[in-house]
Amino acid sequence: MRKAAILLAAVAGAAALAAVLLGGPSPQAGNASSHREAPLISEDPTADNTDLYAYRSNDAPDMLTIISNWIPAEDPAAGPNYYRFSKGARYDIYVDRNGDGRPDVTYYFRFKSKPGPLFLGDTVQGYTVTRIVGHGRPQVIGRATTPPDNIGPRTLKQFYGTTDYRAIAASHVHPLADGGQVFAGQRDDAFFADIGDIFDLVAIRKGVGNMGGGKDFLAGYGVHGIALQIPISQIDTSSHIVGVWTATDRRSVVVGRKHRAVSGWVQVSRLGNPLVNEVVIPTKYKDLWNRLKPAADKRFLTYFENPMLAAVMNQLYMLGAPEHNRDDLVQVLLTGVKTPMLNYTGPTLADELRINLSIDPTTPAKVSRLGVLGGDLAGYPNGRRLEDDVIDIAERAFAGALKGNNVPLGDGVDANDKANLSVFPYEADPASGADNTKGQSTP
Amino acid sequence: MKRLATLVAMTVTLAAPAAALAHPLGNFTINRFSRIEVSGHRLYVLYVLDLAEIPTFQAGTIGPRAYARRIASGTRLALDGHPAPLNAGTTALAHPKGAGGLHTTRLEIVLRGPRLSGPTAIRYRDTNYAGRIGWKEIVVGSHAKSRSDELRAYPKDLLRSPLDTTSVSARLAPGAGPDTPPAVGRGAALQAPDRIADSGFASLIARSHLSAMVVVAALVAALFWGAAHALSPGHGKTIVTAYLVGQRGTPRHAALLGLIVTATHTVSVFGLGLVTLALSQFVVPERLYPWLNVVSGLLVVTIGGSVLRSRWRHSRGHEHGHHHHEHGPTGRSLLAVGVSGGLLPCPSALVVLLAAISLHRLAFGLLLILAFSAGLALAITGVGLLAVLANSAFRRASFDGRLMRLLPVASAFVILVAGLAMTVRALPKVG
Amino acid sequence: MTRRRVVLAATVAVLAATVALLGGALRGSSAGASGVPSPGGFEGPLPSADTAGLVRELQAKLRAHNRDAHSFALLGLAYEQRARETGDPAYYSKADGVLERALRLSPNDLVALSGLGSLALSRHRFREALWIGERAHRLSPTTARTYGLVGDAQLELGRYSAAFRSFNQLAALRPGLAAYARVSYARELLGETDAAINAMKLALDAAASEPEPTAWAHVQLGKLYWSVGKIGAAGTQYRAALFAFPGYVYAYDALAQVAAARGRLRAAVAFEQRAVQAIPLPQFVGSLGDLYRLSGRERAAQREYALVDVIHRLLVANGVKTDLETALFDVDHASGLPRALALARLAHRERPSIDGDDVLAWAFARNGRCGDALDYSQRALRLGTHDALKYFHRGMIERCLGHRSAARFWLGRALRLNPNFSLLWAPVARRLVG
Repeated sequence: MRKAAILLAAVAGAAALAAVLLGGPSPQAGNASSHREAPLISEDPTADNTDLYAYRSNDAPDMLTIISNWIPAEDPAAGPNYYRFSKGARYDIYVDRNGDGRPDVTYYFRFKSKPGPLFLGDTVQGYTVTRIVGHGRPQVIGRATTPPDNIGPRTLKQFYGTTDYRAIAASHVHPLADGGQVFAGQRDDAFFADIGDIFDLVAIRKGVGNMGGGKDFLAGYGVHGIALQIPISQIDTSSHIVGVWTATDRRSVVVGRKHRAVSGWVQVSRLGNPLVNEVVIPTKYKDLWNRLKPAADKRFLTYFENPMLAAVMNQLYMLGAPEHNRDDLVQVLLTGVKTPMLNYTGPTLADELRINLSIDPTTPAKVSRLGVLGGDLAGYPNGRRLEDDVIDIAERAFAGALKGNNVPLGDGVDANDKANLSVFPYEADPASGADNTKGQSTP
Repeated sequence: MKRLATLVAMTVTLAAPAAALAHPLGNFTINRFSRIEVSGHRLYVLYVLDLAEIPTFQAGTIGPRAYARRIASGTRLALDGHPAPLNAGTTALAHPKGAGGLHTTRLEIVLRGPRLSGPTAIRYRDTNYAGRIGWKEIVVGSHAKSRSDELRAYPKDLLRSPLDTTSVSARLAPGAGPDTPPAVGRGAALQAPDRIADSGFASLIARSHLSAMVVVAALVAALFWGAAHALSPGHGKTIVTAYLVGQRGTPRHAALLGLIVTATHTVSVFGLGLVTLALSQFVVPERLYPWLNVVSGLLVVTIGGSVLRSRWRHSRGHEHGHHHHEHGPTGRSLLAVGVSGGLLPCPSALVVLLAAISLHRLAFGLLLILAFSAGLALAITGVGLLAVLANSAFRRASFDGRLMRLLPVASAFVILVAGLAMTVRALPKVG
Repeated sequence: MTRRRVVLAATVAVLAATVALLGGALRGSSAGASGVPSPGGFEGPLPSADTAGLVRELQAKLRAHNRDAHSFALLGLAYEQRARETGDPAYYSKADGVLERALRLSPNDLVALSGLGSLALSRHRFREALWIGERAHRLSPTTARTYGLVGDAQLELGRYSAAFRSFNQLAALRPGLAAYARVSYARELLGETDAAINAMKLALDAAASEPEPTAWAHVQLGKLYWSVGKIGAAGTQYRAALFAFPGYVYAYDALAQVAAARGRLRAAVAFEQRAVQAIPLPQFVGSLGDLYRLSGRERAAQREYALVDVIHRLLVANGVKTDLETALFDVDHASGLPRALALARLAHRERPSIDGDDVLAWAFARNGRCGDALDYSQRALRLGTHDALKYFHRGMIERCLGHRSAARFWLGRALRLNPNFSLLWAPVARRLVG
């Protein structure tokens, strides 16, 4: 027993010594970096589709107006780095005329950067509009420039001799060859939403949300938008229903092939119906979804039929939202509404914004922000107008409005903070960088 | 020879300094704190400067008076809109130990401001070391709470960025009484706060690949760490030793004690881990520790007291000529001593448990803690064994006299004193 | 005897019970079974012009609702970005903490995993980063950024073919700043400088006015120009970086090199001092020391060199894998050459990239073991990289081995490529070439 005891003591002692000598320190970050540390996680704002609108405007009912926005939450006072379209990207608007989920008419936009006075010249960009019809050859149908970003009255005065941004912007509307017009440049973000609450586990500020009281998180922020107006006669179909979506492409690059600086175009973002990417497609498939064309949307069917949002809403608020077999949502988002006949394009499952061109635009007095759910057939999901409150519509739709479960949900924000223009390009002028009032702090 | 070598080794380890940790906010931070207060009619600012290792090294020799003057000139004070001067007063300088064998700097300065004639709107701005990263905090009021405890303990709250307050506005009014300037720290108050030591153990859990080899190696390392940790101050070595000697424990008792310590330690780590997790919304672990120390100390006092009482009564009972019989430790008292020895969970073990939870490596973490506890127990047992062996060796050659009879009482007394010391030491840190 | 047995049994029972209880309880919580399921896919834009603002908003949000895994993950990424912007290592620890919380709430959260992976890269734990990246990839093979994570790790571990494949996949899946920057680096490693410049220009365009990424891309582009001796173009890029992100330390450090190349040592010292004051990275401090030495201020130089040693000790104390630059520094400044060789060997074990090879080669050479040095130097140049410093090392090794004409060839090549390739060694090369 003595020997064992001595042994034990010796082991303990040796162990102690060894431990001291081993001396492992705690893990803590160092900050020396000799390897590249290239950004890995930064998003790509200038390639990020934020909203798509498609409708017949009251002042031009024989035209299809398509507005596509990029660069979310663009800070108007972002000096010295001002936002602009990316010259390495290709901005796309697609029209599907036969309901097969593939483009029949394509519009591409490419932007250049003009050298100029450092902080102003950067934001004025020349661009070309190229159209491809069917399998035809690309045709340039417009060359134009964007107005400068709305940096502030003194800058405008300095370079344009006027502080009237409306006039400056209006002078940058360009006609397209064979009809229609185009505008590209900084706009006020027409989207309105109480984003803080929505993405805060779908909180609702006041009551069930249809009583106002929400904060428009996007008030004061801008976007870069492309507004396109094309004669309906150019794209009309026998059913008078077309599908529209928008996308952004960037050039791929390859290591190892010496003679090619860049490779082919890869789609990095796309948008048809609002909120599909944010709310329906699971995170692990977002990159994939962004790369695919709408014709491939069949593989995501289960997420439309069994939407996560409905389950979450039931967990949080017990709204009785049906969680499975959501053929109603499949219709709205993937095929067009068939019963009752509104904008059905066929059995192909494809996320497109579908508009029935035979339905006349509603007069401003009778417009309902709830679109079809509010009895206004010229509103979402029949196309999408600037004033359609897609958040409220989506919340109600997911809660089962089309299946008879009518819960008057909403985020409490019913309109944009700024009035839209009554003329093309319809989106309001952006806030001036000089008076920076981002985000409404009070409802 | 072996015993000698072991003894030498153990002495060496006991003498080795505890592993120092890096400055919590980063080795090149320059952290600034200002406390604005009114004493009597005069406005004072207590300014604390905490230089991490690199700025300390770069600074070389620091002349507190020169620094105080420079810092005073870097502050901007305005009373009711009018600039007012702040003059450097008493200073206190210390260089607490930091990481890598380097030192940090803690400089406390009392800045004397003007007298206030009535309620005044003050505006204070600190322009010193603008552009250098670090904690920047300003509080107003002599009793206002500092989130960093005046740069002694930076909060580890994940949901707050390091404070970046460089200016403040307030309304202050003169008080009653004399204009006594705030006191600067002295002695231990100028040194670094309690930092969790033995962080090496914690790094074991974060290893990426867990092959069998790594697991085994890690367990062995955990064993060694536990042993090493036991040899640092605390953990009731004195108490265990005193107990075993006083109760005439046998090596088997020592081994059993070791087992109990292991079990207690493991359980207490788990318990504390659970409590920490549950209470992590309300209680910061660092605040929990002093309370644990107090509880542990009180427990030891109780044990010492009860042993003392029974020994005293027993030795009294010996007056009428009782022969010596081995009493040996009773199961219950052995349990109590073992529990007290293992009750205070080592911070490292706690860190390991929490890290294991966060890394989803719970099984591995538990195993490591078991190994650590076993190493801990082994070392304590080893020490206790040595005492037992020494004791029996001593006894074999010794007389059977008063000394022997008093030994159990004396040992109980030692336990009591040790327990009191633990409690008393822990009390100031509480609250 | 029986009592002891009882005690033993009781202890064991308590232990077992605790383990079982804890195991079960903790397993349950990690599945997020309690409370609301985190609506993982809800990624809305958070309007915030800058990272600090985003951090504040997320912090406020999380203080109110602390089970939102996605916000924790986003906050982790934001903290990492703050660390990039400020150099403050406290943000790395915070990022680690919130990312781990995110994973606890949602064990397969891709964003949190990516964040942890890039954190591991920042801490030079490349094997760990690789493991995390592969795990993330298994969770979602169609998510592009995992390829970047895996590729970065593979690169630093010397697995170049695999790394280039990863980068190609990243670029094929999601071209953008991350992909362009990495492909640019890969092309640079292969010696295709013009193609690397093209790719970095694409990266710059995709950085799209985000201040720190833009500044970063400008500096990288500038360094590409610098590496082929185009000092003016390099300087323009560095100044553009400062315009995009005022105070960007890497720009100051790079401008110091430009000023030194133009013989303006005082300006160079001023630039480097600004960099050091903001974030004393060893490479900045070492450069400052070299600049002092060149200016004839030997005492100031020694002070800076001593500081490098201090930083090195702190890095070690902080558990950072021994940094390649520090090994290189010791070898360059002949501070304990045998120990420096040991350090270089350690560094090489952790980072067997061509940079690791080159530093080890140089360490061997400075210790007189030029045969070994030659092996590693050849490995360092095996990709065909146009790197004047590596050419220089090779030239000195050849000289040490007595291969005079080879030495002249390599030294000349270094000077032709970039006459200012090193503050310390370019003068030496010039002297030897004559």
